[in-house]
Amino acid sequence: MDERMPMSDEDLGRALGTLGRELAYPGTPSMAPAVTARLTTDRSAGHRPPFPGAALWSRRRVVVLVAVGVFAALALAAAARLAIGSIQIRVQPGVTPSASLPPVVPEVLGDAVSPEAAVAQAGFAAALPAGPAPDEVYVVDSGFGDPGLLFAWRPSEVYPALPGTDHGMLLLALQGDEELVVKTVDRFDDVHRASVAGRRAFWIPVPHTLSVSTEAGTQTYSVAGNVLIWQAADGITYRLETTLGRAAALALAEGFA
Amino acid sequence: MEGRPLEDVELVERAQGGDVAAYGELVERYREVAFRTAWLITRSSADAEDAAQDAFVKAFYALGRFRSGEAFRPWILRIVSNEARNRRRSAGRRQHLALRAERERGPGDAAPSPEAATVAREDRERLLAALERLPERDRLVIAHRYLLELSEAETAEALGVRPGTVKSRLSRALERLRASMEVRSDG
Repeated sequence: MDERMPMSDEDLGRALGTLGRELAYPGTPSMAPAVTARLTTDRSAGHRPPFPGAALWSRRRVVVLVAVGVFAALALAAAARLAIGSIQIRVQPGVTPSASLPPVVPEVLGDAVSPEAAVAQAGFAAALPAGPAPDEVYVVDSGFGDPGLLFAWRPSEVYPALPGTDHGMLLLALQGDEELVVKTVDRFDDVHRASVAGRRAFWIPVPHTLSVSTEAGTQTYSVAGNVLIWQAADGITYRLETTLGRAAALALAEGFA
Repeated sequence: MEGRPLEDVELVERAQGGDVAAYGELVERYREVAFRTAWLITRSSADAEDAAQDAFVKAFYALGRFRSGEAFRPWILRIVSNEARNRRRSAGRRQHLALRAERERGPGDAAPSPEAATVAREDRERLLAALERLPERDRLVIAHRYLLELSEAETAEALGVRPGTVKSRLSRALERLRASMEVRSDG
């Protein structure tokens, strides 16, 4: 086999398809009974909103409860999961960053690289705010999803130091909608809706945690700065961590070029 | 339910109306690919089962956002993938890809000679080993596209990336897979 010509993409694809049919997957467990039982229990216990089960209800009850149901559905759906691009936000009551969690520091990603090398490695260029250029650029490659870019600014009068770090501002740029980063906040009220260039954004001005999927498992960090998250029209998701207030952070984001 | 099996779109519509039994049909229809998708990410049977089951429950409550005419399979696999990724544990607990001990052949299939069967199995073992050496990103795009036999569009939806990204990521992944096979052969 060693003397053979390398396989074409088509041949390799066919070989992988055959391989897939011969893999020893663990036996698939039965799921429908458990799932339907959970849905039925949720409904009877009132733990979940009736939607989309409203059709099972009498028209009269629907009319009476529609407002309550819709509000409950929206609130629960929103509380369960918010997402923009590659970043998911979860609400977990009682969660506060523990002192043992490390802050998000770019150094854990490895050595800084030149802006040109970063773009070449990540395969895309990110927009940057007007003003001082970043002092360091890192490639974020967890091995899961496409690589991202992290830009770091040293503390300055413009960008005062973020608590617990040697940086004044951090900008993470991620490609696609693969949810690679999860932020967990204590309360739904901690996540404020905002808008950047007419696009949906979230502003999180309270301490929270940030988890990143990596090949070695999930790494969790504490976040002490204010965070603005939005997805630009080109699909790049941005996460800006700074000590700036909401208005200043939004103005900075609007000025990205 | 009825004489003919219902199409996905009909089951989805019924489930959107609150028909839990109809949704159970959808779960039954896609539980295998959902579980396998979750397992390829978590490499843990317990985590994969939890991820798939939770994904089906969450998907039910998200059916209001399911667009008419959309395919259900990639949509549910997207939710499964996200749930599975959130359940990944330490690398030490991961199960490895392996071939079935004995291939089940259909009644019409001609049995290969013992020598040919041995060589073919060695080839597959080698391909599997090369696949396991790839970075997670490459493994997952190959797994979705070829091992799970999803289309490029379905792979894009399931991974939450653009179709163009799947194309380029697959191209790079196959290139690295070839290199991985050659390196081990040379070594």
